[in-house]
Amino acid sequence: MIDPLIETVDLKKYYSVSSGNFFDRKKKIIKAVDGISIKIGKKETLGILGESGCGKTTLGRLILNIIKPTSGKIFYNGKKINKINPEMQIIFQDPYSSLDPSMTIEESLHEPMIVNGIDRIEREKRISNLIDNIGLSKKILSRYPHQFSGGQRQRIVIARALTLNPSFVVADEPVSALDVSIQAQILNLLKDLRELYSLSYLFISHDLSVVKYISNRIAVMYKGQIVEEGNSDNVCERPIHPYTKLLISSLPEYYSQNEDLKEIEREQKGSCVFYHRCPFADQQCADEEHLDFKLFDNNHKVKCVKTNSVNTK
Amino acid sequence: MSTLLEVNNLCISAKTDDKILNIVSDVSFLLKKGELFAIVGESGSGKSITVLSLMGLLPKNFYISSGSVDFNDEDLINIPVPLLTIGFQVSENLITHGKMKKKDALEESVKLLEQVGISNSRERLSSYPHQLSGGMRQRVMIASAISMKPELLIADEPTTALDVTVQASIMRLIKKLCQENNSSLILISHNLSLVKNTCSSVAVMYSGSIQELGLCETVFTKPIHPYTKMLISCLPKMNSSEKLISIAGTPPTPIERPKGCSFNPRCPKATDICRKEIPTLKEIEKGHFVRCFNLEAKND
Repeated sequence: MIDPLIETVDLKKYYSVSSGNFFDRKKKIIKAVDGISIKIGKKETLGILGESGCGKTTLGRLILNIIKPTSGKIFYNGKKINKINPEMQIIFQDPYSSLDPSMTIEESLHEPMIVNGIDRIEREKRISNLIDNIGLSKKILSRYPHQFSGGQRQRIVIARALTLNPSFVVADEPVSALDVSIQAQILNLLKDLRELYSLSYLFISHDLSVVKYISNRIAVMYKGQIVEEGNSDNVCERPIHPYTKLLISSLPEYYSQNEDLKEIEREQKGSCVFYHRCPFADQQCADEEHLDFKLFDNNHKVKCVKTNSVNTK
Repeated sequence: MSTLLEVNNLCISAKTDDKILNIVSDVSFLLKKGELFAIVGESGSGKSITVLSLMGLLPKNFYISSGSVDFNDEDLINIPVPLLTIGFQVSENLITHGKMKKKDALEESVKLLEQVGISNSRERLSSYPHQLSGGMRQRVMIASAISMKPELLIADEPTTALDVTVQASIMRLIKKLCQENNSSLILISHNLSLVKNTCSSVAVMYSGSIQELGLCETVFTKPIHPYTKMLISCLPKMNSSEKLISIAGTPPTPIERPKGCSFNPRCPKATDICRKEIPTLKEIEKGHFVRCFNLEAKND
């Protein structure tokens, strides 16, 4: 990638939590995002795949500067940024709480543009274009959020995110709250809008098949770190990291093949975040203190010391 | 296999301030002993209300307006039988329904917790729910549900709130326990691939009624109802990146259900009769039922 639109360098977000009783306070550090370096090209979608608590949402918010990183840098179009940028927007998971119930749809769509000082004529021009492109009619503008279904609200939320002509959008689980028959509508809409407005997405989801459908590349996250990253097809069809393999074999499609899959739980050692659950881990993994990515064909990166031996199994 | 549960033309209505709404209409299915059965549908399709009515747990303003439910040849609507669902603490069930002493019930609970794969189960007895992870809590719920060795286990979206890796182990556990106790299972889910890979037969519900019913391998590989077909084709698949076919519009709420077949406004094959009359559930080959007028569309 010659000129990435978004680049993060060793991005970290640590939270300190206190535990223990009143007389014996212990400070514990939670590494929500732990040294993430990613690049997202123009018109590219990077899918972030991970289970709850892996830090994927925190990563999205760090890139948008909604929360401040503990350390690390974020570049947008080659420039270092450290505050909220109107060209970078977000679509949240829950379309029911994303819209102000006391505002009409028209007011909700105007608001971000008013805040950013765009004049009325331009605002109305943009809204009328957007309404056409997201598949709703102008009649909806005078209505309130409660008059819409989840899928329609998510369309409105997407339109609002696009009012400021962003070039980068973080989509944080945008279809997980929707019914199956509505999910496809929204996924196709996001794909069409990507072409129409030349958008780049960071698409965050726990659903492997959804991430695969929309993303050019996928990064698999576990405990604040990326453990595998590569082209969507490579990651899904030829996964290398044991965690990615576990995720794929946990899909119901593969239930019959994983009957003998053992659940493992051991004490965490070494620098591999997956050590405590990995079926392939051994002394070599426990001793490894400076785990780094190994490179494979097609820019496929994997953080595992045993990649070669795991791969041949 | 003998029949455990027989539901015939079940209709459930709800009283609102000014009118009576049909929530579930004409639901019929048979469940054999030891059978793993699934009800799939989107939110608001009536799948949860259907099973709540089987347990006599309908919300206050809901009532069964017609139809019958026979469990072990007894009429369930009139005689409440203690079917068990996920939702009680483990030993409470044993004490109330099993007439056990508290001490014995706790001993039994330790065994149950071990059975569902919770380590240190004796120490866990004194844990509070917030000290357990989501997967562990669901295991405890399952332990309580199987404590009375029920003939029928109803699992309403048991893994929706869980991560995929945990979902896989919970589903394996439910399947194993059903096989060990020869219990039947009604799994309610919106996750088609989960259902396909767990159960042997399935009912597809839309807008309060069953649209297609049959063996999973038939319904998922040779679907006939346009809704089932489109529902399957609108899911992203791991092994293909073709553009998804989406179903236009949204499922109707009970107030806005259309005249005729409830799927007709979203159905590409709808004709005049679909907009006027409600089709019946027809058996088109042995054990495969479809509620649709356009059955000649079968071969495309």
